[in-house]
Amino acid sequence: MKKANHTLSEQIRKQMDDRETVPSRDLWSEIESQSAVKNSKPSFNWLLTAACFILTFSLGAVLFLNQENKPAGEPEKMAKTLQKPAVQRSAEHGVNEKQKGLIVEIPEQKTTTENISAAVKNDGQKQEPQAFIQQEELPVVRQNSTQVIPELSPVKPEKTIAQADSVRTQVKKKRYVDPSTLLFSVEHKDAIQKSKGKSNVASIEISGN
Amino acid sequence: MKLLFGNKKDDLPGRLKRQDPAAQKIFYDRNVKKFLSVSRSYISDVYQAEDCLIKAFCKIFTNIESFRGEGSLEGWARRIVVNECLNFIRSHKTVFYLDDIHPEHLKEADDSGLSADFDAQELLDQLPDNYRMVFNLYVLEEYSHQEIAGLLNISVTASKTQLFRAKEKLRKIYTQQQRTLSHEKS
Repeated sequence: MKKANHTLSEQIRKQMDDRETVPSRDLWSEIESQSAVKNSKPSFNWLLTAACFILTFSLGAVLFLNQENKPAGEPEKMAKTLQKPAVQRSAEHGVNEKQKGLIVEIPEQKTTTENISAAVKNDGQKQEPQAFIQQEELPVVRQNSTQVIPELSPVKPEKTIAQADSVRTQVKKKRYVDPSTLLFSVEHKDAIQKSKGKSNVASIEISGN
Repeated sequence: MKLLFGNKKDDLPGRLKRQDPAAQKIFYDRNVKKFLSVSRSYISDVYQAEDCLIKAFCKIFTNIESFRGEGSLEGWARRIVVNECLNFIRSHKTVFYLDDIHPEHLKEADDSGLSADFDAQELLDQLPDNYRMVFNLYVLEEYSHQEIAGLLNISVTASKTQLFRAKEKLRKIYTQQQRTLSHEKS
């Protein structure tokens, strides 16, 4: 049906199927040049990419391992700072000479006690090497702390917390302790404790005793 | 020798897939004239038709891996040439498609009794681009109207209308040519 009604179309198709057109110019050289341009594009270098990945991962691994092998200096410092408040809490209970030794080892109070001892013994040269003294006594603190802690256990937590706060405030406020005041507090410790009661304020009549 | 070479497993499509330059030259020499004729049927200007053919050959050699062996290599390559020509026309010219004729009125005229003394290329060159594209795809490439509609992004009715108008136009052109020839003879 289709072929019978489209004679002109059929003839056109027949002519075009048999037709061959010769190129007016050299097309092959142009095709070759365009193909060469496309092929000259840099191909993906798998070896180079793999080498870059290996380098990146190795560097990352080295950095990760270095972070893990860092010396643990900070935890020791944290232990020392934690021990110092424990020492300060134990100092306010006012027990035996072992606690005195702890009181003596508070850095700022240490210097004053050293000064007192220097004044009593007429030995004032110990003020300068405070850092060395402190460093020498720190191990003693640790040894004493294990012995003192069982003695501190019967003390109520409310007082310890309050005392700890008062100690901190005293430490912060008093940078220079009056040696006479300190000596008086040591000599009349019992009276001071009795006068305090529930508050942190002690009142003693000097003339009374 | 030809039989021996023809029976080889390593035939032309295989060599083309390996980007063998000699195979590419052989393929070019075999098909350049035919493909240029196809390109020329879509594009009236010879130089522009040759430019499209160069691009088509580059695409053939580049995308030879996509040829799966279904059908002939020449048929597959011819489709690439046709698509390249259609892309050229659409990129360089604005083509309008009208589907103002109802399909019931698309009745083909009787072309019987026509003489074969005419140049088909000249007739096609005088057609507008939209008529020529649809006529070539339907008559020369034997595409269906559905395929043409999908290829040109038009409706099936528009494809049928364009084909109808193309044939009417060709008939008119042919008639004018025959009158001119008869006047010249007389």
